[in-house]
Amino acid sequence: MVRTVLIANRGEIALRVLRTCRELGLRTVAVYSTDDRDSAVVRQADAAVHIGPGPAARSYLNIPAVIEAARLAKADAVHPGYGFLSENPDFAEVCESEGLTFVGPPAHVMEKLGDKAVARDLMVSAGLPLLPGSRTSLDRAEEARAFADSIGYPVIIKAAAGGGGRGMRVVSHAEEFLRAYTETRAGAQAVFGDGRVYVERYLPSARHVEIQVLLDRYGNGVHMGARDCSVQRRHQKLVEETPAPALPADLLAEMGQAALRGVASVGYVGAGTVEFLVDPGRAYYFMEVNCRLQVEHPVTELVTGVDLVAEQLAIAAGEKLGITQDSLAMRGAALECRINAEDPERDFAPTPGLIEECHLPAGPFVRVDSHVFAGYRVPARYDSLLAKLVVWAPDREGALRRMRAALAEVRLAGPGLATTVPFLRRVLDDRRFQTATHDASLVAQLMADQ
Amino acid sequence: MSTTTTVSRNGAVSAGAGHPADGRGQSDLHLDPVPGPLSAPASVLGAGQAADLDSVLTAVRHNALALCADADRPPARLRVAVGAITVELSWAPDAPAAWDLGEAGWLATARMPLPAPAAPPAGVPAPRTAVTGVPAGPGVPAGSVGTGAVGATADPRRSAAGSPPVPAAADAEAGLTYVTAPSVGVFYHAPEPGARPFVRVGDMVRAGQQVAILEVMKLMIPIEADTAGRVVEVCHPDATSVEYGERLFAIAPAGAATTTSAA
Repeated sequence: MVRTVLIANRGEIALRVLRTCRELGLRTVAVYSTDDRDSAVVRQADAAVHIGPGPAARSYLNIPAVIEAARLAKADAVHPGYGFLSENPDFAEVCESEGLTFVGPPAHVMEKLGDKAVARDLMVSAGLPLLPGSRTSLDRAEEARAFADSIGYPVIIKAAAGGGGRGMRVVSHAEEFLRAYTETRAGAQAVFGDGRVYVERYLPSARHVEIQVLLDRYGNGVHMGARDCSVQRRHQKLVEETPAPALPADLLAEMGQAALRGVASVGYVGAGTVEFLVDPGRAYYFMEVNCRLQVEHPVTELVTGVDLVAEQLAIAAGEKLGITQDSLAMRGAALECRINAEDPERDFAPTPGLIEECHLPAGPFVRVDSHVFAGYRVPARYDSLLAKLVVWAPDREGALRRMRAALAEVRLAGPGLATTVPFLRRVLDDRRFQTATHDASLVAQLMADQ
Repeated sequence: MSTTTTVSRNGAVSAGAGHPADGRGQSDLHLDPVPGPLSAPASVLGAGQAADLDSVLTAVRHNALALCADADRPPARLRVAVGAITVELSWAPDAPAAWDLGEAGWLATARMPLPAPAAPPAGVPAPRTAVTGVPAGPGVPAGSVGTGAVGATADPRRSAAGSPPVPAAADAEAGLTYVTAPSVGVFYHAPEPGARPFVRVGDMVRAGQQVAILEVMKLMIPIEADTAGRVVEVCHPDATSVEYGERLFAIAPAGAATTTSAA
C-alpha cells in the first residue's frame, strides 16, 4: 500500500511526479539540496527534507541521506524521476531492503540492462536486431582496432557503463581509432569507474526512434507507440515527437512488439523505453533500454491519454496493468521542445543565473512542465532544463503550427540568460524537419549553417 | 605511528588510541558498526541469521568507498575486513590535500556515496564553521554565514523535522557556534542506550572532541566539536531524526568575549 511518496529528484520532474501524486491523493515528500531550498517542489510538497549541500554527490546522489529522509518523513515509496539515482540498482535494492517501494524496475533487471554489453546480449537472445558490433567489451587496443577494421568505418566506441549520451565517440577513419579508443576508455574509467568499451558500426544518417513500454509484475505489458528523438545535439535531445513521422505503421508495430518482447524476456516491470536506430533503408537496430521515466514521456501521454507516472505508481504498488494493447488508442501527434538555459550562439554553453522575467506559454492543447518562475535562480550545478513545452494536435502539421505559436509566447529573461528557444525555432522552420526527411545529423547541420 | 579512533554503538569511543585531535596528520578512522538495539541492521548484516557473506562484503565495501569519497584527501591505506566488520582508512602525515577529481568525477558515480563524517579527518585543526562574529546581513538567516551556498533570498523552509535547516554554524548575535548535522540521520547523545551522554550542557569541549553520534543507515558517524568551548544547548532530544545542516549543539567558544549565559 502506497500512501506517501518521496520524490528523489528536483526540477521539473519532481514537480511533475508531485502533481500526479496529489491527484491520486498520495502524500508527497520532497528532498532538496541547499541550492534548491526555494524550489517549487519544496513549496508544493506536503513535507520537505533537506538532505545535503549543493553537490549532488552529497544530496541527490546520496543514498543514505535519501533513505534517512524517507524514514524521517514516513514515506513508503520512492519515485526516483530520471537521472540521479533513477537507474542505480543499488539504490533500488536498498529501498526494498528498507521496506520502501521503489518506483521502477527490479534491481537485478536494472543491473543487467544498465550494462550495455550485457543488455545487447540479452536482446539478441530475445531476437532483437543489433548493429554489427562487438558482443563483449574489447579490452585490448589491438583487438579493438582489428574488430573495427573488420566491420568497417565509421564506428562508434561506447562505454559499457555509459548512458544519457555520455561516454561515446564516433571514429570515421581507421587511423583515428587507437587514440579515440584510449581516450574513451580513460574517460569511461574516470566518469563511470568502469573502463570497458565496445565497438559497433555507426550510422551517420539514422533516425533515433524509441518505444515506450509498460509492464506489470504479472506478465502483462503494452507498447505505447514510438517517439522520434532525432533532433539531438551531441546525443542530447532537443525536440521529440510521437508518432515517429514518415515511418510505416507496420514497421513501428513490429518495433513495438520487439521492444516488449525484449524487456519481457528479462523480467522487466514498470515503465521503460527501448531505443532503436532506424536507417534510411528502414532497418532497425536495438541500442539500449532506459530503465526509468524519460524526459520526453509527455508526448506519449498526450497521444495515449495515459498518465505514465500514475501507471508507474500503480505497478509499483502491485496492481495489475489496466491497459491492454487493444484498448490503447493513439490519437493525433504530439511534439516536445526542451527549453534549456543554454546559449545556442556559444555552442550551447549553460547560462545559469537569475530569471527576472518569466512567461511560459499556455492555451488549448499546450502543456508546459516547468519548475521556473520569475525570481528563480538557475543553479549552476544541475542540468540546464528550464521547461518542456509540449503540444498536441490532430496531425503533425497542426502540431508544428501550434508549437511555433507557443514558442512565440515564451519570455524568459535575466542577466546573462540565454535559452534554446531561438534554435528550436530554427528546427521548426527547417524544411527537412517539416517534411520529416531529417535524421540525427540535423542539429550539427544547422549549427554548421549558422 | 598512527592513532586509531574506534567508534561503535556498543564499544564506546576510543580507547587507548589517543584522541583524533591529538593525531594531527595521521589517523585511522575505524568504524565498527556492531549490531545493537538501535542499529539492528537486519537486512544487511543480519544479526542472528547466517548473513550472506557476499552481501555483507558488498555493504562494507560501499561504506569504505563512501568514507573514501568523503574524506578531503585520499587515504594512504584502506583496509576492509568482513569478519568483525572493519573499515579502516589511514592517512600519511603529509598526504596531498585534495582528491583532485572534481565533483562530477567518480564521486558522482560512486555507487553509494555517504555523507561526510562529522569532522574533517582528525588532525585538520582548522574549524570548518564560520568565524564567529561575522555579521549576517539583513535578511540572511543567521547561520547561513559561511556556507557560501545560498542565494540572499533564502528563507528558512518548513521541514519534516519541524525546525528550519540551518546549514552553518555561527550565530553572530550570541557569539555562539553550532555543531550541525553533516547528514540526515538519527542524533544520539550517548555511545549506547542508557550510557552517559558524550557531553551535557555546561561541559567544556575541545576541538575535535566527539560530542554525539549520527546514525545514517546503520553507519555510526561520530560528531565532533569544531571549536573548543562550553556546551550551552543540546538542540534535540536523544534519538531524534535530524536533517542535513540542523543545529545539534550550541557552543560558547572558549576565550570568546561572550559569557556562557543561556542554556
